Amino acid sequence: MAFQRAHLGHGIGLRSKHYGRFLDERPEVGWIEAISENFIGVGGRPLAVLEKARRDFPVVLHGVSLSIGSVDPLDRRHLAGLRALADHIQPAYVSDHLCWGTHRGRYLHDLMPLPYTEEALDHVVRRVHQVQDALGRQILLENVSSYVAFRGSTLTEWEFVAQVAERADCGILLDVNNIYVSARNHGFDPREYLSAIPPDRVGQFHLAGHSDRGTHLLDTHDAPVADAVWDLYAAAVRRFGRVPALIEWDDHVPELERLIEESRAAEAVEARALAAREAA
Amino acid sequence: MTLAEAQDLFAALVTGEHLVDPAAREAFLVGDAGLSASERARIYSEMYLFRLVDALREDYPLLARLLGDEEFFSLCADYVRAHPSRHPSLARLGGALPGFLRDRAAPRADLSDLAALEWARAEAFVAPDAGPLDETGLRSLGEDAASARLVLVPSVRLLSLEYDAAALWADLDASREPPLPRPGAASLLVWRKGFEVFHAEVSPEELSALSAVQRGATLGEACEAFAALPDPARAALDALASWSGEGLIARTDR
Repeated sequence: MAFQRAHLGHGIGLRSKHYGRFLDERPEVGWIEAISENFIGVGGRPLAVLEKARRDFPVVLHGVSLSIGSVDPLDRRHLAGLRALADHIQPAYVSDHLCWGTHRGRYLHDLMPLPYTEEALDHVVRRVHQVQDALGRQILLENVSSYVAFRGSTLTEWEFVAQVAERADCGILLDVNNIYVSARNHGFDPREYLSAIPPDRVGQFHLAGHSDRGTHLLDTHDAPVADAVWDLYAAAVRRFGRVPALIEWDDHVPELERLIEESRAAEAVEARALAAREAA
Repeated sequence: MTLAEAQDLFAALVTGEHLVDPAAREAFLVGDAGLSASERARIYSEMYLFRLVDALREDYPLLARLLGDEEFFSLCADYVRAHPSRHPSLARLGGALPGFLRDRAAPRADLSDLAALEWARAEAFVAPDAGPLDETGLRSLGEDAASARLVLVPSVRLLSLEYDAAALWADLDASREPPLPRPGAASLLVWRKGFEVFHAEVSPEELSALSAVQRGATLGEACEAFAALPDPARAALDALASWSGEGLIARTDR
């Protein structure tokens, strides 16, 4: 099997601060990404905004609660709700995170890191197959930022990500900022990470800002993309080519124009990187 | 260590609800000179609580304003320990907070009622869309009206409160000094019309009629709620006209 990359260009995350703009206008964005859980089983203004945005742009549904790596059973009610939403919205992609977030029936509402072991790999691969069967489509899984590493890990994160995608036949949502944040927090080389990811599995990039807390970087999504992350994005474009890229900004969300400006900046970085690749 | 054991241990570190032996933690997580294993685990435990409290603040902005940051945070921390999230959406986390407040020694007696009103409004805002049935649809019931069953729009919430939470809500919403708790039974109806959420005080009879409709009673059965009033037929017709006018009726089921 293979993975089919969509061609979307540069987009931004749909956040409640901008609902009115998306309802009343057609902002100058390439595509939008909506958080799936905010729209499953709901009506009213949030759903009307998503439906209007879908009429205007391609939409990606990005989840935070799939908990693909948890030993808890998959939440079948949630999967059914996600499938109904995807059938209704017809998104370009459905994505979530390569992590776990439920424990003994409790939702932790965070992206908890997995130990990179053969057992975890088998477990995740099995569950991705189950999810893709339940949704009737391929999903993309995103690498998360992390602050801990487990002594029991026997694989690197990039080996784990690559093997999940190949064995489960899913796509990869490569979060460039998360690679950078985790590289700094754990002391690995982010370019080594990029070089281990199979290009034909990468369906999307995420770009976001982080905070430097002195002892570590925190993935806060509350600032512009950092220069070092732009550099890593350029390296990613040189390796993976033209991949849909999205600006995430979740806290201290600026005006829509500022977000659009950031996605234009990404477009410019991509253009330069593609030109450099052509020249090489 | 198996994946299940790793998740048990990590969840204990994150939620702080079970003591973890420091030696077990050191054997589990990699620490270094820059950041020890315990400091790394603490990044997750702090984010866990902050994220949940932030979500509750979204749904209970006026309760948070009334209590102040510190008191609200401490209430929420106790709440999420007693009522861990069981739903993939953070927007569903706060459903048991009104009941939790009722059973707990609170600084004000009307907090639970204020929370019930805020929660009903939050639910109504995102409730699924349906109908509404217009007046012609309702009139078309004709002679069969008494045996018909009405289906209310999913946003309708009915509240029987012990305090005047609507007045407290209005003062807090307008950033006025909140009044002292005012005891007195109040029947509140919460609903969404278009994208906007409303609440209004209704008579106990009307609340009881709406509640019967919600439970699937026929219109005739529901209107028995008005039987003790001086003009029950008039009261029932007025109520029906108001339900239809406010878009409370999604459809009729015969």
